Amino acid sequence: MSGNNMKVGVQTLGRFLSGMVMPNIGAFIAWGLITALFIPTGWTPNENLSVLVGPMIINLLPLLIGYTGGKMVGGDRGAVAGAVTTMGVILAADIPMFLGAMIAGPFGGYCIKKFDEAVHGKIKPGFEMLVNNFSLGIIAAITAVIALKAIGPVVSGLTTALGSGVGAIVEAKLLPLVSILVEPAKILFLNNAINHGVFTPLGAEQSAAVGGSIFYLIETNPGPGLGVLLAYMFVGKGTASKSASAASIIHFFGGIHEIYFPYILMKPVLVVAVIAGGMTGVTVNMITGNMLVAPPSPGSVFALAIMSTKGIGLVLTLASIAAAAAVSFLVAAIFIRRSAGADEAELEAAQASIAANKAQAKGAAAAAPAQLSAGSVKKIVVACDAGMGSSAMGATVLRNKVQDAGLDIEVINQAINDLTDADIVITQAELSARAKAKLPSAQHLSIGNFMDAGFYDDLVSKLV
Amino acid sequence: MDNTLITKETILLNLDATSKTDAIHKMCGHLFMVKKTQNPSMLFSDITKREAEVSTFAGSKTAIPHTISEHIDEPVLCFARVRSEDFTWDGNDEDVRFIFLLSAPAKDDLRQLRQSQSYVFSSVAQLISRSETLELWDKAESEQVILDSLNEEFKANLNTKTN
Repeated sequence: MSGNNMKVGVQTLGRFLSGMVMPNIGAFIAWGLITALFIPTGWTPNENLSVLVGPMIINLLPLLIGYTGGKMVGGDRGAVAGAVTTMGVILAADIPMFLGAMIAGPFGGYCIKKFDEAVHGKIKPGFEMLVNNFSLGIIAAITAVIALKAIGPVVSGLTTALGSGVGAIVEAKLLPLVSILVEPAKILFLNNAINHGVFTPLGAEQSAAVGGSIFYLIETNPGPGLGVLLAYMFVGKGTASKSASAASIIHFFGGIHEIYFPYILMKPVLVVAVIAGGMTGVTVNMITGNMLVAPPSPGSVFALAIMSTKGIGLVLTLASIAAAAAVSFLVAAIFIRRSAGADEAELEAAQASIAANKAQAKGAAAAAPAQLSAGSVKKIVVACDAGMGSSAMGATVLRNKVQDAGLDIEVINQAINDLTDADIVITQAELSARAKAKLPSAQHLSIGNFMDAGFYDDLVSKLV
Repeated sequence: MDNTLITKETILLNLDATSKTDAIHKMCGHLFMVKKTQNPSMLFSDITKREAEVSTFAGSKTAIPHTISEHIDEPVLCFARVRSEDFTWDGNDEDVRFIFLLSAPAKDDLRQLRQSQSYVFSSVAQLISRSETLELWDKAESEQVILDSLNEEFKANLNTKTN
């Protein structure tokens, strides 16, 4: 695999992962608010209400992610299968299984999709409902058991391995390097596993001996995440930048770090920014000998301030947060700015439309991506806003050309909001970013004018 | 097929319009006159809102403004042939002579609605790819000629629909 392919692969994967999380951010915020308010170390501790915290993060949030993941792969039926499958990984370990849900959900959806494709058109009329319900039930039951017995232990194993990796770095006294493991692991929602599994026990030992520990300051420092969110706010464009301000408040003051993970999944290179920020924070604390007296929970600026040692400790803690945020902000800003301030998707859409316009001006066909091949493309969706106007016309033109070429490819038109599965999605350049956000798993092509026969001719010639 | 979608009443052979806004505005007014909408100005605003996102210019001197709107009583297709000189629909080189305005009331199942209406523009796409059809529309002296050519294509598309 060439470097470029790998880069595209990582971006596609990142987009796919964040696509599972982003629609559920509201649920994360709900959980974050409840947690920040009612847990024993929260702002208004309340035992009766804090019972919500555990079940929500252990069950609800992974299920939502699994549901969404299944839906992205296999539509509404895939969503149900994804949720059932996710239940398997949830019960496979006692840590929150976000990573597991991100595997199990799409896996469940994929199995249903494959089954539906295999039996398509072979079910006797009148039996569709029966077959649909029982096939979903049986397949989901099987995938749930597979998830419980196979995926769960793998994810647990990965978590344990990360934990021992962190332990080894600590042993070797190379503390700042620990960020290289910790920050990416956080993005995969292993933050609690790392913090409570590794740092809290290490910190407890140390603070029993000397009255405090630097270990409490590693994973909990909200600085790196804050830097990335601020970079989105000030340098980024589009929806991500608009939502980043609300996210930064929940993250920084509420201490719910989960909020910023999707922003990094969207642009995986930003993991470099949080690593740099994390290393800066750890280094500042190491040089100044700063520590916290107890584990701050949640990782909000208030909790860290309260747990600081008396006297100058508070200043040092705040300084380490600020330094981490500043470094993370600078690095993230460079990466975000480098993509011309535009979201990756918008950028590509813009580029494609420029190419299309240029080609149109010259009277030549626009160039479709080179890596298309007939074997892998089974379904092309022409999408527009309403799903009945422009897309219907475009799909008709393309369908005729596909049929004339003797290709076995389904061409339909849909509203962008209805996109569930497709190998290729064609939209007008102005709408491509929205279509990509809706269905990140597909290959997206932008067209200048949806009746541009040259574009379709070129696409068909690539598919033959 | 929906026989009330387009009738002679909703075919305008000599629309006086000098701009896209003018044309859509007059067509909405006409839909009010033939009792398809109670609120032509809201319908106008729904259509122009959609138009603002991406132009619906379709090539072959044709534009297809359309929307799902609360301000239309039943699915309706309105055809207009511009009498005066062709005007520019949107941006450069988008001269328009034929306008197909499609609007349908919102239903619970939007997806089903969209799919059920897709045949309309699917047919239009096929029609405008033939120069003889364009010539026929250009020269037609009665609404019936236009209506027949559309209905013929609608029927063909509905019958061959595979899914």
